[in-house]
Amino acid sequence: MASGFDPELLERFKRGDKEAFNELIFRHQRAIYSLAYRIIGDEKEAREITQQVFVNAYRGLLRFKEKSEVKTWLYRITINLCKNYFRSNPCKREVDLEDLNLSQTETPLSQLLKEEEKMRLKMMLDSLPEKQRITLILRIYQELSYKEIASIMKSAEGTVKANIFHGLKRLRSMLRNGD
Amino acid sequence: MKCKKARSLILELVMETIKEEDEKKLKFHLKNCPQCTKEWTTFRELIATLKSLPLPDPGAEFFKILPLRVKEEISNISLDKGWRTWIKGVFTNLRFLQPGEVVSVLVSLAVVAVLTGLLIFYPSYFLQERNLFFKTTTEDTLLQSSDSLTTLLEGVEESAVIEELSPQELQQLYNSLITSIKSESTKEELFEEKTEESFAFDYGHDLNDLSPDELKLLSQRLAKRYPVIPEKGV
Repeated sequence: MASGFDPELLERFKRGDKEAFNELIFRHQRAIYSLAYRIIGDEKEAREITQQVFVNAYRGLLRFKEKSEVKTWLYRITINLCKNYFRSNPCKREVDLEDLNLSQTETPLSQLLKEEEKMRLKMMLDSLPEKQRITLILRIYQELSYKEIASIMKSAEGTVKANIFHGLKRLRSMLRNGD
Repeated sequence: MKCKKARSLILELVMETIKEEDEKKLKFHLKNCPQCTKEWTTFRELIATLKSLPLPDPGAEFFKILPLRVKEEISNISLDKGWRTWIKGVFTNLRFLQPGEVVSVLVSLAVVAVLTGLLIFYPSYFLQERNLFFKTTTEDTLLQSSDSLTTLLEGVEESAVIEELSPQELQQLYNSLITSIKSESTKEELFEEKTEESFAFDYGHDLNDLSPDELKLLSQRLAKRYPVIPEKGV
C-alpha cells in the first residue's frame, strides 16, 4: 500500500484529472477492504462497504481540506459506514458470548491456533465495546500509530492507548474465564 | 522495577510502542520474574493469534473492477436524487439555526416572497417603471441635442429670437435640427423617429409648404423647446 498522504494525487484530482481518483482507489482499496472486513466480519458486506467508501470519497474529495492524511480520512469514512451498517442491522453486532462455549474452552492460547479456536477469539474480539474493538483493529491489523488512530477516532492519544489496553485485558479475561 | 510497573509496560512491549530505555529495564525484570513473564507470554500469544485471524481474499478480480464499479455508481447518481438530498439537507440544517439566524432567514424569505408576488400579480408596475426610464432617457438626449443646436445656430446671424427668423432661416434651422437629431441621436431611434414624425406630421419636411400660421406655431414650439438662442450678430 502506498503512503496515504498524497497531495500530488489530490491536486491532480482537483484539477479535473479523473485518473488520479483511480490511482487513489488502487492505492487504498486493499486496506479499506481489510478494515471493513475486520469490523463487519462479513466478506460480502465488506466488499459493498469498500465500494461505498470510494463513492463517498469521490463526493467529498473536493471539500477535503488536507488537515489529515487521505488514508486516515478514508479509514474514518469506512468506520462510519460500518457503524451505519450495524445501526441498520443491529442483530449483526450482537455477539452471544454463550456461543463461545467458554466452559468447554481449553487454554493455553497455543491451542487457539486451530481454526475453530481462532473463530472463537474472533467472536471475543467482536464482543468488545465498539471503541475498544475498532481501536484494536486499527492498531493490530492496520498498524497505525496512536496519533493516527487518535485522528481517526477523534480522541486523545491517551484515550487510544487506554482503549487498546482495556481491550487486550478484556480479551485475556475472557480467555481466563475459560480455564 | 516492580511488578506493577512491569505489567503496564508489558502491554507497551507487545504493542511495540515501548521506549527503548523502558524495554531494557522490562526485559531485565522479566528474566527474574516468572509471573510477569507468564503475563508477557499470554499477551504476546494473544496478539499473535489476533494477527493470524484470516482475512478472506475477495479476489484480484474484485480489486481490478472496483474503480469501474465506483465510476458506474458515481455516474448513476441522478440529479433528481441530488436535489432531493440537497433540499433535505437544507431543512435538516434549519433545525440547528440560532434564534438570530432564524429571524434573518425569515426576513429574507419574506422579501423574496413579496418581490415574487409583485412580479407575478403586478407585472404592469415593472413595465410602467421601464417606460418611465425610457422617457427620461429620451428627454436627456433631447437636452444634449439642444446643446448641439446652440452651436449650429451660431451660424444663423439674422435673429436671436426665433419668432423673428425669416422663413429661410427657419428652414435652415429646421434642417439643422433634423440633421442634428439624426447625427446625435442615432442610438435613440425612438426619439429620432418620434421627433421627425412629429415635425413631418405637423408641418411637413419642407417649410416652404407651410402656411404663415404654421410657421409661427413651429417657431413658437422651437422657442419653447430650445430657449437658448445666440444673440443676433454673434
